[in-house]
Amino acid sequence: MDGIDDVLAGHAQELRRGSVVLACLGVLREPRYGYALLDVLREAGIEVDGNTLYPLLRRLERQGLLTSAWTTDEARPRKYYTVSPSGERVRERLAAEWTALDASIRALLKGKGT
Amino acid sequence: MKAGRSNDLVERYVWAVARRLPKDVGADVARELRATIADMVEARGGEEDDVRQVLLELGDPARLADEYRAKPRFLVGPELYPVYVRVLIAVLLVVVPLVLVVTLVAELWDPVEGVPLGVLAGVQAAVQTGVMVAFGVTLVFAVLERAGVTPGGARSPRGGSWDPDSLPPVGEGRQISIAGAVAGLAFLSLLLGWVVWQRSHSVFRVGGEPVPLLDGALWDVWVPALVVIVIAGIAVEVWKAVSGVWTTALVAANVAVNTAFAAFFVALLATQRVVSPAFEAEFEKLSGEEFPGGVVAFAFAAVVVGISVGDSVDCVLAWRRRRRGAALGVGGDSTRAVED
Repeated sequence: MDGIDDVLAGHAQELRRGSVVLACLGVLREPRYGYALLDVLREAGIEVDGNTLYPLLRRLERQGLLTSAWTTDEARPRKYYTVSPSGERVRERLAAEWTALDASIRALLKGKGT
Repeated sequence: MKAGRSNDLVERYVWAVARRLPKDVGADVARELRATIADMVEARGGEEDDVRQVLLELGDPARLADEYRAKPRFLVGPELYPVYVRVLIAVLLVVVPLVLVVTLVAELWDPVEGVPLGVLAGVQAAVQTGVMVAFGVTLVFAVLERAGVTPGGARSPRGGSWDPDSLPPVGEGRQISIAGAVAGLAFLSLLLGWVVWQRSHSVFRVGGEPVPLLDGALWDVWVPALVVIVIAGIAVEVWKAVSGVWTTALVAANVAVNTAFAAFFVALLATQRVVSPAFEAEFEKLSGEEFPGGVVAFAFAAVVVGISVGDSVDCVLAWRRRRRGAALGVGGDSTRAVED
C-alpha cells in the first residue's frame, strides 16, 4: 500500500526530527565541523540531510547551546562547533526527557489489551 | 576540483544562498558553505560530476537560505487562513458585481464608443477591480500574519502572552459582523474608484471632453493623502473582519482612521476649491442658478464628521461592554454547567 508507506514515512520523520538536536549536542562534546558531524551521525545510523543540519547548527549557536571557532591551519578554513556549558545543561535535560519518554512509550506499548 | 567550471558553479551556488541573508551572516555562511561543499565533493571522490551531485543534495538555494533565516515560508498561516478565505470571498462577491453594475450603467448611459465596447469596458473594470482587491486583501493578511494578529483578538505565542480573560462571553461571539466590515470595504473601494473615475467621466461635456467634478489641482497633494487614508481604512476594515471583537489596538486604529477622515475632509472643504470652476460654470449654464458650493461642502463635512464621531463612540462603547463583560464573567450558562 503506497498510501500507508507515505503516511508512515511522514510520521517517522516527525519522530526523528527532534532527536537530531540531542544527537548533535551529544556528538559535539568534541569540536567538529559541519560535514564531519554529518558523517558521524550517519555512521551512528542517524539519517539527516546537510541542508537541515547546517542551518540547525547555526540556530543552536544563536541559542547559545553551541560555540564556534574558525581554524585556518588546515587546507581549507573550517568552522568548528562545540557544546557550550549551557548546551551541556540542555543536553542533560533532553537526555532525561528522552529516557522518560522511552520508558513511557514502552510501558504503553506493552500494556495494550489491558 | 581542478575544473574551473565546477568552481564557478560552487561560487554561483554560494552566492545564491548568501545574497538572501543579512550581510554579516551571509558572509560567514558563505565561507562555511564553501568549505562544506568542498568536504562533500571530496568525500565523493572529487570528480567533475560530484559537484553537481552535492549541489543537488543541498537543494534549491532559496530554500536553504530560508532554513538559515528560519523565517515563515508562507504569506498567510493556518491560523488566519479560514478568515482570509471568508473575507476574500465576501469582498469579491460584494465589490466585483457592484463595480460591474456601476460601470455598466455609467458606460451604457452615455455609450461614447458603442454598446459592445461599453459592456467590454464594464467587464474589464470588474475583473481589474477583482484582481486588485484580491491582491490588497492578501497583502493586508500577510502583514497581519507577520504582526502576530490572530482571530479573536488573542495574540499568538510569538506575538506576546494570551490572556484567558480576553475570551468573549458565552453567546456573545462576534461583535463585528463580517458583512458590516465588507460593506465598509465596499464603500471605501467605491470612493477610491469614483475619485479616479470622475476624472474621465462626467454629466457635463464640453467639445466632447468630460468636465471633471473635482478641481484638477487637488491631485497634487489632497488626492494622494485621501488614497493613503482610504488604504488605512481598508486595512482597519479587514482587521475588524478578522478580529470580530473590539480589542484595544483595534479601537485605537479605528478611532485614528475616523479622526484622519474627519480632519481631512474638514481641512479640504475649509481651505481648498474642491469643485472645478468648469463644472460650476456648466452647472450654472444648465440650471440658471449658481452652484451651491458652500451648502454642499458644509453638508458633506457635517455628514463625514457625524459618521466619524458616531462610529468612534460606537466602537469605544462596544469595547467597554466587552471589557466589563469579561471582568464580570458574563455568560449565564457557566454556573449551571458546573452544577450539572
